[in-house]
Amino acid sequence: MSDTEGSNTGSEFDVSDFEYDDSDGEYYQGDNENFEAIQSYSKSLKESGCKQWRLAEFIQENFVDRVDKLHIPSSKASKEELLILLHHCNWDEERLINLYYDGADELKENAGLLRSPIPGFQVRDDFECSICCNLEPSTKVFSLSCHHEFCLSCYYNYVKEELPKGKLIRCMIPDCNLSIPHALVHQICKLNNNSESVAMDNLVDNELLYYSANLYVIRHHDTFRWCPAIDCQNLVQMDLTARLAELDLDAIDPFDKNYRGSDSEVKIVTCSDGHEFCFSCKFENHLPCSCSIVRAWDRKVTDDSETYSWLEVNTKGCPECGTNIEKNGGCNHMKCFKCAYEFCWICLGTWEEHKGFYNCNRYVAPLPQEEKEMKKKRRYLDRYMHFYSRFMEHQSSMAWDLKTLKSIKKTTEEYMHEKATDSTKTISYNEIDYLQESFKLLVRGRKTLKWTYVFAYYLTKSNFRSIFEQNQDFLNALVEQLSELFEKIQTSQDNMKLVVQLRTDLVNVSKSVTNRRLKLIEAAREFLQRGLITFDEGF
Amino acid sequence: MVLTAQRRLFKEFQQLSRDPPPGIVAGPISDDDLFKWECLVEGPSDTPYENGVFPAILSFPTDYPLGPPVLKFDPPLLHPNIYADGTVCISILHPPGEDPNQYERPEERWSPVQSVEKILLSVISMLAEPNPESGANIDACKLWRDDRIEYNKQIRDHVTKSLGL
Repeated sequence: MSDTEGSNTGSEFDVSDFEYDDSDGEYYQGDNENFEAIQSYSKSLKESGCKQWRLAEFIQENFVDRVDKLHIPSSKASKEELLILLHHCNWDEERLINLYYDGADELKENAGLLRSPIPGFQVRDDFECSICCNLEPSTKVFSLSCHHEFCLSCYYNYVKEELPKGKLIRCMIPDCNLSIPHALVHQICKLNNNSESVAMDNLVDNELLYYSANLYVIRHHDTFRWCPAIDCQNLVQMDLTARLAELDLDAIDPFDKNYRGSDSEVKIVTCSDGHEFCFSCKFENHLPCSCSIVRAWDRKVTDDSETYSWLEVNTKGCPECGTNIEKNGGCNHMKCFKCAYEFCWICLGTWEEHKGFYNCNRYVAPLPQEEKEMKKKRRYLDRYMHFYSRFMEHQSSMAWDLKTLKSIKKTTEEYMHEKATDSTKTISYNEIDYLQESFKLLVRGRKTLKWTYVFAYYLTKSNFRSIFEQNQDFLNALVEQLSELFEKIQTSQDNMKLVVQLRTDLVNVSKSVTNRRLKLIEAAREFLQRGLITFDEGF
Repeated sequence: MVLTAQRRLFKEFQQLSRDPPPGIVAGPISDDDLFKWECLVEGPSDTPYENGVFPAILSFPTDYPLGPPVLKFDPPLLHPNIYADGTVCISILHPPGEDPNQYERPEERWSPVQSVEKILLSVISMLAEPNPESGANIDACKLWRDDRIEYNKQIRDHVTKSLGL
């Protein structure tokens, strides 16, 4: 597949913008030369006013650097003490300075500032800790300048409990207000785990600062988000002014017929490791769906309401005890497993009356209302199952894709390893490093595709729905094509040869997937903004 | 873990028998199980609980002293801070981690540096000064607040009965 020369520049709305002329076999338009171009495009589309943080950067810049910059005239506080004071004031310099000039002694008292010198860690002979009552010939003991001594392992247990609160940790005696300096907290944790050498100065890895960052993010939840990806410790910060513009998002009901657009502005952000997620609802990138649709879908999927619909359509309740019974044979003489009541499946009357003659053969027209209800329910169920199964299908395909990639990755790594000793192997890193990037685009494509089914589920019937569905088909075809290419590499005899051979194809197709994906999202957004499509929550 | 708890409980028992605080007797019910203690708490003077001696059971968790014990009066005692089944509800018996009501200061709550002696002293001061703000027994709270005469009478009756008079 090759690039086309056509580019889409029409700013005036036109249905054909979103339709594709498939006659020459071209699926996508646009002439992005490489991945970077696509990425910067998607970035400018989605993330204005965002800042990405790694946890260490965050701690460095927001906590450690602030202390370095902090200058309180006429105070002789050390860096360590300033860190405690600033932590006490929730990292708010202004508050610290105000409190300091209101009464430096009171502030120091409340912050539990240490009076030097701190005894810190000591090894003591015949020390009996008053908590664990352990009496050892030689015990590691910790205390602050208050000399409330406890053995290190009891102190560690206490610190471990206190850490997640993210606040300053005080001496173990409840009435003693002294704070344990950050570096010593770190040492308590490390020494207890028997690490001998402890670096004092590296505050970026400090446990207490980590939990304090966590608390800080919770307190500033309007501007900060943790990346929701598993094991990812990155943060995204949203520019407040950018946020203000869309503050009322949640107040708008997307299922309101008169509703126009702003819900389509889903704020997708990317963390430093490239994980995409929605800033508002902390879900994965769920475009083209809005957050409220995601919420409605999530409720539907998790509350199991469709299970009940299925039961209603496919089973009948035992007339005696109400147990749901599914008919799995021809005979209409039913016997309830639970209460052993015998009845007729057709009329639900007791079987006693059917022994001699079938009085249920006489037609009594069902109430038209009832019949209609039943048919409606069945239709709704079919509809739901249609979209749900596709949604789940792509979800599981994603996992399979990942397996494929892992296996390819393993092969390439082995190859690279052998390359050092085997001169016949000549493929360079440059020739294979596209794999990771292509794969990322495949996953993103699948994710969008997955959510299009949710979007389509709630969409009411219109011409624009047909256009949307067509876009969906195109994206689907491309995603499958890409997935197939990956699988081809994995299953072939000579993986490495294919990795190089298929490179152009893979890069091209993954580019097309991304173009298609962004087009689809853009189209959905524009339909929404122009009020050309509506949603119905009633399904 | 269990060893630590046993060692600590044994120490506390030794300490309590060597130097018992006034109005308190406490110790393990049997030598085999250090985790169940029986206590006798004397009613503080100048209160309706005066002259009463109230038996209670202390049950310790295996992670003691990290977690607090449970104190239960048997038979139950009428008091705003004692549940109808006899379980005592005061801040020193609550672990520092959870505070569903947000009104207890952390330094009042359980921590491993507290002890059985401090718990029982807190219980005596609780008997003298109920805290209806965080009631455990609503009926007792209501009675204590609205009809102190009846409240005092019911407690004195309980004391008289418990002494077998």
